[in-house]
Amino acid sequence: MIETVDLRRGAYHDSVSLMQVSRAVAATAGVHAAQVAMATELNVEVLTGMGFTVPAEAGTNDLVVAIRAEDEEASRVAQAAVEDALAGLRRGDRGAGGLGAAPDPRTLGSAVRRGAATLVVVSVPGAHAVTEAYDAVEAGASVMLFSDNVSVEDEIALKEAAAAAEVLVMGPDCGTALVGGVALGFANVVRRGDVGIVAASGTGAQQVLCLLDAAGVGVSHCLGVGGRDLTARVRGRSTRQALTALAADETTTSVVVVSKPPDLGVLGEVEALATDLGLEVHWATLGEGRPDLTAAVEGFLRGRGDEVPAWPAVVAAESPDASADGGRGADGRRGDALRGLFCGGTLADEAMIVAAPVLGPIRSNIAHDDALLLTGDLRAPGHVVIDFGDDGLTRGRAHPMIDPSLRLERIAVEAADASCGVLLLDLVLGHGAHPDPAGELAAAIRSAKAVAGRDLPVVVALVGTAADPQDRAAAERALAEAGASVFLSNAAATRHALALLGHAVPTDSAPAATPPAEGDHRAESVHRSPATGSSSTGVGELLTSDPVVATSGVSLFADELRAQAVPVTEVRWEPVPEHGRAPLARVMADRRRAHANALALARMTAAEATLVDVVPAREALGLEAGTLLHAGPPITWERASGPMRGALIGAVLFEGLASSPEEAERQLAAGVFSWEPCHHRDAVGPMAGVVSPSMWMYELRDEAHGNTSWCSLNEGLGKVLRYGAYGPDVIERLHWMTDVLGPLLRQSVRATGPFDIRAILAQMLQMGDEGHNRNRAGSLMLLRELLPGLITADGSPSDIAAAVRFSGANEHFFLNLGMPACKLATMAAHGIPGSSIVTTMARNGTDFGIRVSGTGDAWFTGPANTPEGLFLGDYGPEDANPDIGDSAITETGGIGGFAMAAAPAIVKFVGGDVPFALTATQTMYEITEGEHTAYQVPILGFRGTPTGIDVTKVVRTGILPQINTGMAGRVAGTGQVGAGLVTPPAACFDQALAALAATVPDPA
Amino acid sequence: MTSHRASPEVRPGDPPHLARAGSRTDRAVELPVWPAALTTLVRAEVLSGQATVVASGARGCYLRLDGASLIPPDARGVRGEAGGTGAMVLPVLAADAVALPTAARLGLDAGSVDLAVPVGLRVRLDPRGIDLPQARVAFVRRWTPARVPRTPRVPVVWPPVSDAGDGVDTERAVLVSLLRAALTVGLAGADPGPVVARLIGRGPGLTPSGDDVLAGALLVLHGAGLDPGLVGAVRALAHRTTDLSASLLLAAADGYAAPAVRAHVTAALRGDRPAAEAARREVERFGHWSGPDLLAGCAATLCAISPVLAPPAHRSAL
Repeated sequence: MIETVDLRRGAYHDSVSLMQVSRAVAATAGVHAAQVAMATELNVEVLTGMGFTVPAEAGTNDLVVAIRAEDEEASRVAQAAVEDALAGLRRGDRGAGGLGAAPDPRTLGSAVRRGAATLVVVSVPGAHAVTEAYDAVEAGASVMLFSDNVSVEDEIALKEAAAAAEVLVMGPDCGTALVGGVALGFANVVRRGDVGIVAASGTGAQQVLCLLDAAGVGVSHCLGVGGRDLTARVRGRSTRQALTALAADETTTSVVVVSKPPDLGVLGEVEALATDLGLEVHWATLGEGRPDLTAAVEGFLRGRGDEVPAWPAVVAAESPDASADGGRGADGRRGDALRGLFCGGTLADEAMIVAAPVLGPIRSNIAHDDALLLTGDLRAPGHVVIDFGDDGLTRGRAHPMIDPSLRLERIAVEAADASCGVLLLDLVLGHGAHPDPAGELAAAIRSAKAVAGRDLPVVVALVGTAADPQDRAAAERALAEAGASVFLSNAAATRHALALLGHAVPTDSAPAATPPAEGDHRAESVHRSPATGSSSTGVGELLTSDPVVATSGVSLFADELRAQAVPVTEVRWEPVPEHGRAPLARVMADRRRAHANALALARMTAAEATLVDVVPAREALGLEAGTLLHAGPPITWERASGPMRGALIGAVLFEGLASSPEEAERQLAAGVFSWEPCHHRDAVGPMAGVVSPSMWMYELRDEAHGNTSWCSLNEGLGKVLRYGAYGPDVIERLHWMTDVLGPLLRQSVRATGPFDIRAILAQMLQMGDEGHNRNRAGSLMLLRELLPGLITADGSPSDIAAAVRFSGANEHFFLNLGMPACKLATMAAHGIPGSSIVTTMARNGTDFGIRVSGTGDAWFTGPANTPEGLFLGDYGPEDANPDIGDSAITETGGIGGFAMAAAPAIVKFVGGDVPFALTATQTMYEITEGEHTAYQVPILGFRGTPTGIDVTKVVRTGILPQINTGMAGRVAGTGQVGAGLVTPPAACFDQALAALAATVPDPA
Repeated sequence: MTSHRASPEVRPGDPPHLARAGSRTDRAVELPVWPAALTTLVRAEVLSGQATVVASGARGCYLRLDGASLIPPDARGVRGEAGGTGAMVLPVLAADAVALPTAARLGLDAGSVDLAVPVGLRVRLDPRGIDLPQARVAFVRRWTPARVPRTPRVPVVWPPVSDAGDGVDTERAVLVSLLRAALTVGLAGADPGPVVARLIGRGPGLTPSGDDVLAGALLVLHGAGLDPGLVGAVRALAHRTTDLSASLLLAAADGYAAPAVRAHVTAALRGDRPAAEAARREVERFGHWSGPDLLAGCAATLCAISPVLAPPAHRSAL
């Protein structure tokens, strides 16, 4: 025996797909056991139960491939089968469609916006489902929430958000819907017509759909609302939205609500709404003393004046009246217990409601009475009804409508149990269900009858239509040939089973004898008036156009939709790491967030940036002697990196505060001077970003928001202070800039300015710059603005010539204006309560820090990464310092690495290739709030650059902002060693999210 | 089933005889199947026999059906300059094409399927689908096109722009002034037919600009529940434009439109300015000129009917 347990990191697949893989591999010859699953706690338990030893380091995001095979050969074949099956799952990840194709959408919001989806289907695990659903609601799409394990609190909050956004949430745990003839999840193919269905029950809705279809009555839409919607807590929130949508739909004339008995208060509210909408509402509510679903449908049909047909039924020859000895088998034995084995929860419930008054107590895994609740192996003497679709039986396996194996096993068990008198089963056909469920069930029935050694009648409620993919007629034939009695009506099937047990049951469901419950057929005289019905907006729009769908989770849904000619966008969803889940759910549910982020983006894109002056830092920033500014988040001397220390030393020397580098270093280490981030004074500085009082600063102004920002003058390339160089030539250049360049630039700006920097940024993106590491066009355009004033400035011709030469020789001359322009944009977006938009990204060479609009001035930091890219001369990776500089403000403002597609030539400088540049920009749309209105990317059809990094999207997708940057030498004084690409550490965003979560007010 | 290109043995440029029948069942075995939804505006039974490809691109092909008549034979007059035959045209569209109300639509977009077929090619179709050289288009369901609802008369009609047409585009200005004339004549109770005759089929292309302007007008009138004789005039003159355009005009007369057009007209009639603006931006991106022409037709009509829709007290103030 060969046993292998293989661990694959970061290979996520949804559980249904993996179950299919497991099943396929287990069926390989020579394989005794196989399980392919994500290493969740539950799955590890299952694997351990199967006798496999799972490595202790396995985490929930790891894929475990466990195989026990006869020999080496079989093991190899099984491994190959796993690879094949996994490759098949990946096929959905469509290959690149050309040069730098856009990546698959990673969030539902992105998919909705890209594909103009009106509806999303969420089937990711429950812990993540609410987050996905919020995203879709925020993007303006209605949601079918297939996932279960959603708390009532989350359900209420989500439905509140949906009502505010005028969309519908179907679910949670909604398995069945039919929108405009499109089946979502488990739904039957029924004729189109004028009856709308609102369903708080999946298989209940399917029973009603199939009965109506058999009666020749068509259905317009079937909208699920989730099993708890009509309870006192949820208050029919989705039912109301669904009714509003149906009222606005031209084709719908009446509505049937399928549900457990609703809360009476809620019932009244829903009825009042229906009256306001002019909508005729009928209730098919399943409960003790209420008509069963078949009776409710019959009542509805009679109310419409339609004929009630004889429901399809095939009765097997073994029926009691056909047998002279009262149904006993040849050996005279026969059990007297009813054993109901169901896939559909509502059908199981209905069977018990019909049978209990006749049989007495029935034990069940879904019994409402604790005394009757079955647990453990679900065996008990007497009458038993089991719902195999219940949560407790679907953990770690697919729903029995897809994977019937558990129920098939139980049928064999019941066959061997002499007390089992009748087997009552259901079989639900339609989209989403097993492609040939009747074949397997018929075989199981045949074998059960053969091994029983007694007369074992089998009754099946076969819920399906002629148009279902599985063909109801063929299924009925197969089951009847196996010796089962087959009914379309579950209630009729149950009554037949009771009769087989020798109980006297009225064969008719006798709806007339059942007093109509409150609400039944009450609205017959009320006919909808289109005048009020069609004037609504919002959720009323859901049903006005053919559905366009986005899906997140099980790919089965997307496949089913494609087969129905529905446009589908599939999200490449991956689970959020454990520690991010709770804060993410809280922040996503923050009702302030959507508006706050929209506002942040609007302000960011509306911010102006005008160069109004050039001023010494002393005046501009009120920088006192002995005070220095630096790039990034706060840093101590002890933790400062080489280039940061070098720049601080250089600034001290430049200010004449020390006579030698050694003395400067001693003073700095001793705390003689103080320093703080440029950002704390609304300024920015590239690389080390060190600013001292005598240095001159550009002053930029945003009149729209009343903000001012500053940045130092660019020193040129090579050995410069910002890269940590502090040699005599560096200091000398700084003096020249202070004495000559600064005053001349001031004259120019004052004489011919102010200059619109934002306009230059917009133009340079169309000229091959991205504004961070490529500033050629921008520098030339800036020079064009400055030159007239420079040339006519009051100064010596040689000084003017030197200033012009210096400015023109530096292709990054413009960077020091682009940065404060972006700073102004992010300042405008800062400080909005509830906003999860990043307003600062900055590095000090040791730490990477971010600040977020909704969390004020707090920094969230993590260790800075070292850029990867190309090196100058003989320098190599070992020479590079970790990421440094405030220049990531460009990416924060929507340019730089985010606009890489605008500057394909950048790849020669930072590494990578042209398709990479295009893909990089397109990937950033997955984590940004929106697009810039002024900064555009020509090659993407002048699409606005991705702008406004959203912390929640970064955490959800794991996509980190792409930053283009220069690389400083690790050793102080080295200067620039290269340029490349870098990302922030994920920890910054995790911390920011946790802090944002703490600001979310508790729901009132 | 997600991604299928044309099979190698038949390329879009190949001569029509490659699509000959006979080998259909054999070929159907190897050809990919593209599920499609068929509009509820077309009866399936008219889809049998042969059709001719009248236009084609990656996002769609347009089939003129043999024998399926859109316009009753007695209404068919002289062939118009645009060359209508009165035959029904069925657009077969990828998911990312504008959802024309008369179309069969695939769930796949042009990135996954290529619907290009040579113009003039003869293809075979039946109530269950169409045999294109590259694939079998199988009708798996019906889709209901978006329809402008009858909006209860509200006093606030929001005119999206002044109805002066487009100052830059003189041709559009001419079309808009013709439409305005037709509406004035019609609202005064006279026959707008002679003016409509100057609009219908006017302009180049499969959907001439004059027809797009008219379609915008018909949609607004449908929503407002008004008919100053335009519907009758369009029906009588439908043979004077291309078959495709005629089918779209008749659909517009019944209120059927692409979803964004429906959203624009509906919102404008409700006086919901932000919604109308949002939809308007989407419509503007349609086709070469179709979107702007449709919008110009909507705008002119909204302005023309505003005084009619206003309550009496309000009207006297005008």
